[in-house]
Amino acid sequence: MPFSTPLPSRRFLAIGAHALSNKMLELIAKLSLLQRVTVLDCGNRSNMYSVAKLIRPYTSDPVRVMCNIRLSRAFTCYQVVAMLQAVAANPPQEPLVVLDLLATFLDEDVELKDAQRLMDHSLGFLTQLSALAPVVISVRPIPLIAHQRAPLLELIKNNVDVCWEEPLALQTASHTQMLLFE
Amino acid sequence: MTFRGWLLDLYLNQEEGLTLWFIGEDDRRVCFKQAFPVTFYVAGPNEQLRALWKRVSGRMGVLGLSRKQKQDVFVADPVDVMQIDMVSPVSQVRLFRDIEAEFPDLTYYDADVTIGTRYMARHGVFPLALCELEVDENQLIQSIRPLNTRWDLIPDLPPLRIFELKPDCDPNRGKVHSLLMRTDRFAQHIPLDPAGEYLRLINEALATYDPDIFVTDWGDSWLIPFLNAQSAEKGIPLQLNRDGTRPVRWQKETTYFSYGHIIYRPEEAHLFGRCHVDRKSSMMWSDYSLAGTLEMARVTTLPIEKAARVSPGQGISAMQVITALEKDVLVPYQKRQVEEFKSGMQLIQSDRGGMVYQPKVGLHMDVAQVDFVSMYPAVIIKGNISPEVPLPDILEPAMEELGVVPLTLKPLYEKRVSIKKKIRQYPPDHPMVATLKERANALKWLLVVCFGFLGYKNARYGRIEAHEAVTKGGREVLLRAKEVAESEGFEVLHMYVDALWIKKKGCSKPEHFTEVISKINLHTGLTINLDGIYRWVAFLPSKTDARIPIANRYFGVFQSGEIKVRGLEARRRDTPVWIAAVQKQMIALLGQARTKAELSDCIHEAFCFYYTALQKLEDNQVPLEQLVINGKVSYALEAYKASTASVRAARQMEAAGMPIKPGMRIRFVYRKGEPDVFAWDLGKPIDPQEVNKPKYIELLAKAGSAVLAPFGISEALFREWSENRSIQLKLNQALFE
Repeated sequence: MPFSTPLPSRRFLAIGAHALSNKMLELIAKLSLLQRVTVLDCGNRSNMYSVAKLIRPYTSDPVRVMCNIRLSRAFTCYQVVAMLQAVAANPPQEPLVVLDLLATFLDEDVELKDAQRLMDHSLGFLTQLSALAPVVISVRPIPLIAHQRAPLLELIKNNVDVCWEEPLALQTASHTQMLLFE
Repeated sequence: MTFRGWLLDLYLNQEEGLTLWFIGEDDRRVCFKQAFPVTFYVAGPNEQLRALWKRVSGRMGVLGLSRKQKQDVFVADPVDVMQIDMVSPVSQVRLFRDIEAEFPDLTYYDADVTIGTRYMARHGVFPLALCELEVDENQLIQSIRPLNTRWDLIPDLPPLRIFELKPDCDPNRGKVHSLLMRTDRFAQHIPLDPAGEYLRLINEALATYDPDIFVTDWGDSWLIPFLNAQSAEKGIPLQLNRDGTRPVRWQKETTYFSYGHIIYRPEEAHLFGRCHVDRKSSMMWSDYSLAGTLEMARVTTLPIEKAARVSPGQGISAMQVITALEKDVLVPYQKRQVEEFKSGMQLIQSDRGGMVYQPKVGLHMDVAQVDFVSMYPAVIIKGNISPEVPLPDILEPAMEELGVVPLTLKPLYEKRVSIKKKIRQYPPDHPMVATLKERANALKWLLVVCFGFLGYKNARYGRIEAHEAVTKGGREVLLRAKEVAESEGFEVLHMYVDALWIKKKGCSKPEHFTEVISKINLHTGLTINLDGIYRWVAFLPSKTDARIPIANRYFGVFQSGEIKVRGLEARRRDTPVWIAAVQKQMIALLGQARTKAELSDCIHEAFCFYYTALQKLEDNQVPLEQLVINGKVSYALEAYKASTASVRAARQMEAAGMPIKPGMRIRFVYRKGEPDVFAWDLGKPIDPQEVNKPKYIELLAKAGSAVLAPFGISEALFREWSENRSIQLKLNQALFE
């Protein structure tokens, strides 16, 4: 990813398979070693075991570093908006990482027009938050079965400062389960 | 006029509000109407509420607008809401649809509560409740009161007329030639004659018998669409509804995700004035049949037709809504409550599931299995775990007054425990036992899903922290139980979420376990029961590495002779019937052994049975339908990058013009050459010579080796023997000494 720390106060978007979970967790680990980081998990991607494993070689106090991570999860797009609204009301000064922002907006039970309206609200809050601290958003490409929702991804792309898309060759590479012991 | 009878069906009507059908104590079927004004609430910024007020003021169907303070379950203080009183449920649905589109950012409460749930909350009346009504000369109900409750152990039920209609074969698989029509008074095969005489016969039987419950096989997906189409084509009237003014109501097909599975539900045919139950669309029919379905409808207040078809989660949801309405707590339309911030460390500590203590692989004699009775519901009730209540200190509740979730569960839990006690009072062959078991099973499923529902994204009264608090309580309880058992000198062989497998030298009778059980009860505050004592039980290792134990993969035989199998092929839905039967029979043959010494002989018998089965396969003596694999597609076919056997079979069906939906079951047979699968539901015959026997030998060897693995025969060796019989298999004799 072309994002290197320290990040400026801008909106970054990373698009890739599995919402680039592994890379984003690496980013969270890296940030947490230096400072506090706020994580908003919108796609059940916050595997804190792997973050703990990533930070372990760099610290003698992993518990303290893990406590630098502040996170909350949302499971519906209504909750995503509510979560962002709550964060914007008390904005963090530290970097904000939003994992798999699109996931809940692909829910077929939510009509596209409602999903678009809620995404508009969400992006408004993210823009507001990016004035104070960097905001890194990850999304996965729109899956074929949800192709009608493609405008949502365009909406996000149009509302960020930097957009990075995982090259296709990397997207199709097989993802292997992490080893328990190396 | 006063009328007494049981409520059978309730639905909306445009004019009066509600139509209700009753089974009178005098056996008459009577229809009444009732006015039913409803209320819903809206909250949000004052400006928007003022705009909404102007928008709906004076609109047809609006009885009144007012400002109120009401309790939102997720907010500490009462919230200011606008109350909208509507003349009828139909007008409420229309108005809500309109204003939601116009004011999508407002927060709505009590806006999408089903009519059955509203009725229950207001009048205490539920499906099959015995009621007393005051009715005026226009057949309008003036007052209604229930004469029994949802929690009656042996409810006073009406004499239901049940009418069964089913085709003579699976219509997806073959051509239907006749229908079987059956009631308690008659049974008749009716051929599907070209003139349509069968339509007249069915119509006449429906009119004469006037059934309450119309039970079909493939009624939703084939029978009712077929009968309706034939009726229209031949011009022969067919009246399936008791309410002659209504046509059949069709509910759209749907695909949804439930407990790790993608489920496909075909279109549903709903009737008015009587209930249509399609056994093939009723996901839990095999578990709890009609008695369980009626129990489900009574306790959840879902209409019988719905209770038969939906997952228990919807039942629990309806019950929680009733509790909320009874407590005068608002029912949110969209849940917007979010998780409180945690640190990375806190997430690691809280986001865990049930406790698992890996089994000691191998064969064990005289092992007791002890289970907590409905552990998670019991933890929820004991810890008062509910989204609006502060979280407990492990099992110590933060406050005494029960929250919405435990308040909903408590009577359900107590009813199930009482039914189970009642079952134990009867001899096993008593006619009441089967019905009670079906009812207990229905309640069991409601209790099972209540925990998952706490963490379900769309659950109105779900909260992820509450969900995590339940598993935390469960882990604590199991650890306490383990400590007690070990302090009493027992060896704990395995623990799995709510169960422990324990043994101690010299303990082989129920009374030997009484003390440890009562001590566990005392130390946990929850009830634990002796599920049974195994003569022997075998915990199996991983298929890929024999050194690794696998939780919940075992088989054994209780002292009663009952066999218990978990995690084996015989339990899987996709295993061909024949392979499952061979595995079950092998275990049954082993189950005859009472001692280790007897096991040696029984293994020989099981092995001979396996060998015979293998020969039958090789000699083409296994019926093809018993080799069918019951696969599934979880996504639309175009979304698959890799092609599994189920997907390849589904593609064959799609190519033949059969629509494939995510969640659909796809049946197929492995065949030689290309294509390597044969979709079973194409309706074409398959030549038995084309069956891929080596593939089925491989599947059979896997199933057989799982049974023989505890006796020292590995899967690889057993498979090699099954394929060419060139090696000699040796049992681990040390096991029998």
